[in-house]
Amino acid sequence: MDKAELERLFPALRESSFRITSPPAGEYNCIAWAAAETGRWWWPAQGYHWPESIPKEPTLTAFRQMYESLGFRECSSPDRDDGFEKVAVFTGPAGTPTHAARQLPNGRWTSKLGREDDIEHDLSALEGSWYGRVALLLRRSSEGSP
Amino acid sequence: MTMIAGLPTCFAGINSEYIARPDECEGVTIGAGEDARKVSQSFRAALQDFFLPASREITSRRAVFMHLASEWKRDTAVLSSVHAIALHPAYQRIIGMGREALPWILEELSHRPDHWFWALTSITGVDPVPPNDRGNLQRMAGAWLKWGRGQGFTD
Repeated sequence: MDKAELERLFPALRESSFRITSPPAGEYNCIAWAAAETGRWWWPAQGYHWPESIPKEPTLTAFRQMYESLGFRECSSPDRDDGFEKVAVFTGPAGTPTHAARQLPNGRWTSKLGREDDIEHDLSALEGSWYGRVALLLRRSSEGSP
Repeated sequence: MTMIAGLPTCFAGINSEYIARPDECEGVTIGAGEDARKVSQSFRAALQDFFLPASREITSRRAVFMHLASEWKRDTAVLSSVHAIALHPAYQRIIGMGREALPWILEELSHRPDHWFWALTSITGVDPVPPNDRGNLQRMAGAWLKWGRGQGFTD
């Protein structure tokens, strides 16, 4: 998917700088990518990867618990905090999770767009009709503990 | 009535088992020669092939499947939610095609692993993917293709 098509789907990308950082890959999704995994598609649905101990339901609570099981804890700011890595979970109008992004050491965010590319972007640039809005921010120590 | 060699001759209708039934041609010479029989059979076969072409019907249904699959892929390309991907109307219509769609889905899966698993399980009622392979699309596709070969859907 080229930049023009991405800008068509996510108009806010036009107002900010973003770059494609990998070619399309269907092996993993944004939820896995935010957890720094590229081998599986994570989703709380029958047949897909989801931690055994977390409710297999597409709710913000389940997503919070899933990332907490990886050492993340809820936080309030999307700004970069030294020594921490952050994840943002987006939800649609009904409150159902749609997307997750991971903060990079430079303070910008990285997202895997469905089966399509990875991009580096401003967090708010993906808000809109496809992913809704950022509903949850979490962070963990860059060394892996909360 | 057709005149052949100066005699009134009656040819069969296409639904007749015979070249002509005697009661259809009472008082006339019946055209019941071998050539007439072949012509009638060929005409009947051609007519049936035109109106009820099984091969053309399958091609058409497959074209519908391909159209729906293309629409589904386009509209769900940037989605992560398996629920949203599977609830897309085109995907639901493919599920509605039932077992007829299985060979086409498996063929798609053989070209490129994609989220056909929900549809496959919905249609067949089984899930051959081992628990450890869940989420690994390559392995999930492999499990389904193996299942398909075992069921005779693919070579």
